[in-house]
Amino acid sequence: MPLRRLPEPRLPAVTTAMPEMPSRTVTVEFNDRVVRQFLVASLVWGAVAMTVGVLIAAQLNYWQLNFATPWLTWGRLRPLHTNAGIFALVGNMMFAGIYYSTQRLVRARLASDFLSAVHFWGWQMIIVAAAITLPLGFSRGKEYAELIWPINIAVTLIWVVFGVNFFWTLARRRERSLYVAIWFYIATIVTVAMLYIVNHLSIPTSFTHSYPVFGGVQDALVQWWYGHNAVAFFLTTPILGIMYYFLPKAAERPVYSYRLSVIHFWSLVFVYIWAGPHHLLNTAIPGWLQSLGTTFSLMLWAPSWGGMLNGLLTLRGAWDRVRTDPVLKFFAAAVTFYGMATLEGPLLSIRSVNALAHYTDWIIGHVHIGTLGWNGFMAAGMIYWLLPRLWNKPLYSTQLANLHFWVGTVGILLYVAAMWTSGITQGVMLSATTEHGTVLAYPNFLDTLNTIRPMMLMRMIGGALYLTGWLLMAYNFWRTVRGAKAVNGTIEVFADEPAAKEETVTLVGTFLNPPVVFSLLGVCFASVWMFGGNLLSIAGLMAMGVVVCLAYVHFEIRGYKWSAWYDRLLANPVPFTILVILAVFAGGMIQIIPTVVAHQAANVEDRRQIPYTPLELEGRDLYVREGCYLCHSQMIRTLVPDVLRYGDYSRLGESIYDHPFQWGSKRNGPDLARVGAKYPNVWHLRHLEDPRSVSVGSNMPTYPWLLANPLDTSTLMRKLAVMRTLGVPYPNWTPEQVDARVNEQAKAIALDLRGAGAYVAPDREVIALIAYLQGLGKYEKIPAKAPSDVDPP
Amino acid sequence: MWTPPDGSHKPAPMFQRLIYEDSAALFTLAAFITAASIYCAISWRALQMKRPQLEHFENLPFATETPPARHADTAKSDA
Repeated sequence: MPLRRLPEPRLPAVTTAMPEMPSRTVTVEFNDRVVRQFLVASLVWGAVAMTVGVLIAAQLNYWQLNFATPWLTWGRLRPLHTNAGIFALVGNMMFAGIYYSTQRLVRARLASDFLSAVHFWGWQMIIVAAAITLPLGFSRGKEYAELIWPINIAVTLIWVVFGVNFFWTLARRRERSLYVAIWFYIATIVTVAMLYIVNHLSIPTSFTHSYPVFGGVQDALVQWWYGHNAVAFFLTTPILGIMYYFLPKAAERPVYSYRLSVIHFWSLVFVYIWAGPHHLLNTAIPGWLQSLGTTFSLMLWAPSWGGMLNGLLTLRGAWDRVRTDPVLKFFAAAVTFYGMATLEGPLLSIRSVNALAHYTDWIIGHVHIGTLGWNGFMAAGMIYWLLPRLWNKPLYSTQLANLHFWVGTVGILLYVAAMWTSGITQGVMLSATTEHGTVLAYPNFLDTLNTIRPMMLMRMIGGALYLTGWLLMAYNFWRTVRGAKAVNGTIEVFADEPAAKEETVTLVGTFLNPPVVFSLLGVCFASVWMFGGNLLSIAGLMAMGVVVCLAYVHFEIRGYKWSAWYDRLLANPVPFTILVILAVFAGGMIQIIPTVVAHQAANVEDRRQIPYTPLELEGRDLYVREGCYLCHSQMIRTLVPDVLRYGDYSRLGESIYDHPFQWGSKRNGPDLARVGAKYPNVWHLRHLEDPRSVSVGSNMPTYPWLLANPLDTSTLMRKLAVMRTLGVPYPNWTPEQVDARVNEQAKAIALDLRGAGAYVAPDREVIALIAYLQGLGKYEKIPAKAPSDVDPP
Repeated sequence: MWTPPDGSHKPAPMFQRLIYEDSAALFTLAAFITAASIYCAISWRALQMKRPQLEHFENLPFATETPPARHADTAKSDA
C-alpha cells in the first residue's frame, strides 16, 4: 500500500547551476558505526542480563545454586540482573535507536565522532565496572541505584557526553521541524539526568562506599520518584521515540495519527513524573502522597493507551505482512505488551489491589511484561530491521527470526502467567485470616513460599525460553554479519545549505509569551490561595480568577499568538527542552520538597528511631552488601494482615536515621522491621549459617563467609562522621570510645552465643550483622507534641 | 499533629502521618487540576493542527531514503 502522502523530493541528485540556488550537492555520510557498536553491545549484554536472570530464578527454587559463594549469591546477582537489563540491554539498544533515527530525522551526521566514541566506550566501561563491583558486594542499597559513587559520577559524565552530542547534532540539523520521536529523546535526556543526580546524592565514606544524603521517608520518596521514572524515562519514552520512527518505517506508512502522538508526548511528560508514590502505597508515607500516586497512575492509563493504539493502528493495511515479516511481528507484539503493562500499572496503583499485590511476584510479572515484552521485543524488531541495512546483506534466516519470536512470546507468557498466579496466590495466603479476622490462616511465611514453588519453577522455564530466543537472534546476527561489509547511510545535501535556523525563540521568549506567562501567574496565585493566610488566600483566589479571565480574553483576541508560539517551539529544541525540564521538575518537586524541608525528627508521630550503635551500623552495611533488602522488607504496612503477622505498623519516625532506607519492594522472605529481639542470637547465627536448620523449607542462601570474615572497622569513624553530617545524633566519639563500644557489644553477643553452644570470635562479620538484626525495631516513645531537641543515643 | 478531642496526647491514629498533612493534602488537588488543564490544552492544540502541517510531520521519517532490507531478493527480482 502506498504512503498516504509521499513527501516531495527535497534534494535532487544533480542540481543545475542557478544564480539563486546552491551550485552543487555533497554526500553526507551518517555515523552508523556507533549505531552498530551499540547494537552489538545490546545483544551481548542482553544475553548476560537474561542469563543472570535465569540463574537467580533458579536460585529461588534451588538454594544450592548459590554455591555458598559470596559473588554468586542471589542478593548480589539480583542487582546485576536488573542493572544489566536496564542500563546495558535497554541502554545500548536505546542509544543505537536514537543515534540512527536522529541523524536521519534531522538530516545531519552526528556532531562529533569523538563524543560518539567516548559515549560508547565510556558506557561499556561503566557496565563492566558494574558487572565487577555488584557481585563483589559494593552497593548503595537502593534498587536500580546500587552502583557505587565513582561509577555514578562516570554515568553522569557519559550522560552529559550523550546529551552534548545529541543537542549539538540538533543544532546542526538541516530539517527545521522536530519529529515527535526527537521530543521523546529530549525528554529522556533531561529527565534521566535530573532523576539520576538527585537520587544518587551521597557522601562518600571511602572509595567504594557512601551514604545517601536522604534518609527514611525522604529517601523512600526520592528513590521511588527515581525508580518509577527510570521506568518512565529510560525504559519508556526513548522506546516510544524509537517506536514512532521505526514502526512507520517498517510498516512503510506514516504514523496513524500525528495528533495523537502529540497528546501522547505531552500528557506522558506531565503525568508520568507524579506517579512515583504508588510504589509506597499503604506504607508510612503521608496519605496525600499516596492519593497523588494513585490519581496520577490512573490518569496515565489514557495517554499510554493512546500511544499503544497509535502504534497498532499504524499497521493498518500492513497486517498481512505481520504474518511473514518478523520485524512487524516483534513491533506489533511489543506495542501490545506496552498496552498490557500500562493497563496493569494503574490497576496495581489502586490501594486495595496494591495491598494484595505489593511485595509479591505479581509486581515481578508486571515489570517483566515491560522489559521482556515491550523493551526486549522492540529491541529485537529494531535489530532485525537494522541488521540488513547496516551491513548491506540480507538477514541470514527469516525463519530463525520467526522462531525467535514464537519462542520468546511463549517464554513471556509462561513467565507472566506464572508470576500473576504466584503473586495472587501468595498475596491471598498472606492476607488470609480466620476467627473473624483476628488470626492468620497461614502464620508461617514458608507455607506461602512453598505453595508458589511450582510457579517459580515455571517462571524459570519461561525466562529460559526467552533467553533461548535471544540467543537465536545472536546466532542469526552473527551469521548475517559474518563476511559482510558494514555500510553507512548517506544523504545528498546542498554544499552550502545552512543549518536550519528560522524563527528562533530566545531564552526570554521561552518565558515571555502568553501561554507561559498566564500559566505561571495562575500557578503562583493558586499557591497563594492554598497556602496563604486568610486574607492572602482570598486575594490569591481572586487574582487567580482574574488571570483566568485575562487569559481567556487574550486568547480570544490574540489567539494566533498562542498558536504561533507553540509552532515555533516545535522547531526550537532549546526552549522546548527548558519547558520539558520545568514540566518534569514541577511534578517531582511537589512530591519531595514538602517532605525534605520538614525537620524529620520533629515531624514524626509517636515514635523515634534510636540510632544504631557503631557495631550495628557496620552490621547494617553488611546487610546492604549482601542485598538482604531485596528479599526482606522493613515496612509493616497499615494493613491488618501485615500487623497480625509482623507486629505494630511502621511509623515514619522508626526509619528516620536510615541512610539508605530499607523498606524494600519484594518479600521473598518475611518483613524484618520488628525482628529485633524476636529470636535469640544463636537463632540468627544458625539461620545465616544454614537457614534450613531453623526454618525448614527456606530458600535463603547460606552465608558461611560471614562467620569466617573478620569485621573491617577501618572506616567506621568516617561513617559515623558522615552520619552526623546527615543529621543522625551521634556524639563526637573518639576512635578509642568507638572501639570500646564495638568490642563491648561484640563480646556480649559472642558470650551469649557461647552460652548457647556456638563459638564465634567477636571480631567476625556475623556478630555485627546479628547486632544489627537485633537492633531492628528499637524506638523511643515521644509525646504527641514533637520535641525540638534530639537526644544522643 | 492530630490531637484527640479530649486534648490528651495519645498515640496518633493508624493513618495519621506527618503534622503538615492536612494542608499538604491540597497538593493532590492542585496537581490534578494542573495536569488535567495541560492535558486538555494540549489535546485542543493537537486537534487544531492543520492537515498540511500534520502531513509534513508524519512524513519526516520518510524524508531520508532507507535502503531495502532484502538486497538479494531485490537483485533477483530486478534480474
